[in-house]
Amino acid sequence: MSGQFMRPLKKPKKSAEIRKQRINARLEQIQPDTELLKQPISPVLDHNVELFKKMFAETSDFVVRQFHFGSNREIRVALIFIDGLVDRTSISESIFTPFMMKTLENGEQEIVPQNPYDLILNWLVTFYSVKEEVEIGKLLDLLLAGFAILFIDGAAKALAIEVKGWAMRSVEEPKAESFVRGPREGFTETLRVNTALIRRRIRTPKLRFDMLQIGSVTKTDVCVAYIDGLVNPATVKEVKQRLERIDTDSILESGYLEDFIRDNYRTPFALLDRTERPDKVAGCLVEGRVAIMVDNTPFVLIVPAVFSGFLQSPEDYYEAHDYIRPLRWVALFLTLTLPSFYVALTTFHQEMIPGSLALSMAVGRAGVPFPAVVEALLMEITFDLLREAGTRMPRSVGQAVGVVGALVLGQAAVAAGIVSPFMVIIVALTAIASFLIPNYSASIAIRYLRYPILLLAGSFGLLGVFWGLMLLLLHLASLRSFGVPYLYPISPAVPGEWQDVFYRAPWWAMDRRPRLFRSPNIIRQAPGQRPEPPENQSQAQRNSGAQEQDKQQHDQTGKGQG
Amino acid sequence: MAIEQGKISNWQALLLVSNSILASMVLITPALLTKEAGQDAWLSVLIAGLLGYLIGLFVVSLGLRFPEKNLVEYSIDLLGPWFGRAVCIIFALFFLHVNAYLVRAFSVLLITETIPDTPFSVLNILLVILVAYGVYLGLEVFSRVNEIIFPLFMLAGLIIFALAAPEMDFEQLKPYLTHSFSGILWGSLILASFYAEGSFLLMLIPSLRNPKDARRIVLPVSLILLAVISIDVVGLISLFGAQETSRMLFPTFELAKTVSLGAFVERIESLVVGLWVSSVSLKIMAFYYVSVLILAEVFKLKDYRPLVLPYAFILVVLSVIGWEDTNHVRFYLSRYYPLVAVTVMTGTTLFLYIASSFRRNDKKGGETQ
Repeated sequence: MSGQFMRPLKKPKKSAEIRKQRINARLEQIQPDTELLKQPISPVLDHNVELFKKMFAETSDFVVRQFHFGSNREIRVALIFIDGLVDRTSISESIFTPFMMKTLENGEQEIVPQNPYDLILNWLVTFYSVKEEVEIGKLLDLLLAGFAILFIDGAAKALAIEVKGWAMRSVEEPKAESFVRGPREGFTETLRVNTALIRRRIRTPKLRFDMLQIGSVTKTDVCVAYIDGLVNPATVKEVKQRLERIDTDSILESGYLEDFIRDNYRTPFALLDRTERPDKVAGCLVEGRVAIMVDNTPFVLIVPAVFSGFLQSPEDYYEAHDYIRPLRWVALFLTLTLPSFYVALTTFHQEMIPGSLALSMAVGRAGVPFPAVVEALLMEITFDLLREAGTRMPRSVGQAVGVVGALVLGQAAVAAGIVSPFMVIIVALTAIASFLIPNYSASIAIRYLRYPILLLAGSFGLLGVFWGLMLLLLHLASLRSFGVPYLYPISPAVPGEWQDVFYRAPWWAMDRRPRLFRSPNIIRQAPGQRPEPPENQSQAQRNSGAQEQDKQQHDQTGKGQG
Repeated sequence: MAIEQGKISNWQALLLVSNSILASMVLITPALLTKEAGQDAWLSVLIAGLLGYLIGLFVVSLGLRFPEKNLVEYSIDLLGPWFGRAVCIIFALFFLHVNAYLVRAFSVLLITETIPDTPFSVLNILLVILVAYGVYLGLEVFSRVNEIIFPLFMLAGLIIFALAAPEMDFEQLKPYLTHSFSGILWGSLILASFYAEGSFLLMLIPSLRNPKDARRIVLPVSLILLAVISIDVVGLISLFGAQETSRMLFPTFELAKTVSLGAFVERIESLVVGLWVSSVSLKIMAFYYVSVLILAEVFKLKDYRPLVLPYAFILVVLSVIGWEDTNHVRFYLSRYYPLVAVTVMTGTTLFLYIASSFRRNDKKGGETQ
């Protein structure tokens, strides 16, 4: 493309490389010496201890405990650990007690200084999980993960003892997604607890938790969970590739990852599902999806996600199939367009409002000094302010915000003649409808899209509303989440899967996994499990052969009993 | 060497072609038809349906001679680099012009019916923004949207006609066959010109998932169109009478005004306009896409997207300066457009078809020798 007279659009490759080198040099400043980390530890105890002391430089939670043991106190060892990440009782019970007490009591036990390492490994460390490590870097990682490291003078290997233990939240009911029916467990901040919560629901060796570490500073554990054989291997590969590409210093929440791995960042819609409920994750894994779990957050990401999934709540699958799904679709539509339709009708298309209603509307609007659009914008923004304030406030203050909102702003605004009572009804209805959308991220996206549509309605009436919806639809149709069309199965239309989109069919009817996740194993269960009423007489006669057999068996058992 | 583009399923293609023909036909033609053929317009519809089916078969069989190639590639193969490109540019320009009148008709409808105070150039720009965005996103995306919109559009249409049915008086269809046959034929030619717009499919055949089965979408499309336009024309004549229908600008739209349900649902024409916006914008998107794609292929661009914006500007300007006023649009549509459309579309297709037959004979001859 770049002609002779055109300035080249991209900078020459060379400078890009130099820039990259510079960035890498900067990044390395915050890292310990990479060359050093690859080296093995030295057999001299003091070297190792000095090395680690130098790395941690007086940090208050870095603890070094050096001591001698053996019948003549001739063996020197050093234990290092991070205070707060280890369980103190485990350390004293499984390390200090045996080392200091046993070696004293057991006079007959020869403490051979030539091979103290084997002795310690086999006799003294009374803890179930011990790793032998040589490399400095690996020891460092283990130390920071909550292991205690035991250096032994004269041994070129160190022992890493898994005495992890820190203050953590117990498994509680999730705050963001609450149910009437369903399990009350939610994820916690500890990755291992979270994987266990899933493992307890899916007892198959095919459930895989593949670990990665992301973040050059935080070194956050990230776990890719899937069920081998049900998931499409290409999806897992893609997820891992996208995760491995991330080169950042910190991952503090799964939201960090979300920004890095989503398909399209120019969209208000969430292209990944997220939940803090283990039952939902288990359900998604069985559908053939992939979950991404991040240490230190209860929120788990699920890919691929589709738009209709944001209107599905796990509770739908526990309660008998019901009318809540269609209600949610209506709620979605209302949240998005109700204020706009109101504005369009009152401003441009009064003829569509039935006469008596139009009359009472006109009376309500009589003293209002603003056009309907401004009125609607005012109320909608007020409501969003209130909601945002209520969400982030401490709970006791949040209630006060509710009172202020309802009484002062609602009632007083109408009494003062700033807004019409109809507008208050519309805004309240919109707000309630927006709470019906189970997924918070999706609800936010829809809430913010109300505003442009409202402005369009105020400028062009119904035409504007439909114009905006059409634009939105085009945008939605262009989105993909890990290769899956976002509007699937509505478009591309797969009517066979609408039974889990517009309503929830009974479980025996959904005998296939959703096809969009491209699971290699699409059959979910045996077909034809619809519960039938007990057979009546005529049918029983038709099946008399089977019945006779039953009878014979019955007789035999009766004889046996007699 | 075709430009990278998405694939659409045959079902999506079926809906896209139906929508692309129907969106304007259902609104514009009844008035023109009843003017030519009076209450015998249904006969024009039947004849046009047959013509449309033949045109469709003909277009698809041309496309299927080169299922892997698009229009530009095989016209260059058949007619040589210069003449082949010229023919394709005619195609592209024709669709530009169709789009221009569609955009104009859109704003005419809106101004006369719902928002009379808005300048029509604003409405044109509004529509073209929407359409350009859709084209920019690509064939796959707007076909998928069409997959949602078209069934909804049909459903809404059916409901409106059902609600208007109590007012209809089918006696108005009598007396039968009182109009001159030439009038009826001219009417069917007007309709056939809309059918001929379906030849944009020529450019899409290589983007189908199963190009081999393209022939199978012709009959469903023809039947859908025939059914819809028959219901439309018959319903309108029995509601308003042929005379009054022919005097209206957009009679289908007037029909929506008469709908009344329980004294609560009334005057829903603005809602109909809203629905029609989505339908007609999809129609324009399809033609827009095809003509931009043809131009990109003709000028050997790697992507059609750089052409989307300039095309949008040209489209807006053309739609504004192309016609003096509403009457001009209407006169143009009833008098000139059918001839232009049938000549350009069917003529070019026929020309290519004949050329390909000659080439094929040449090849066969060469093989036997």
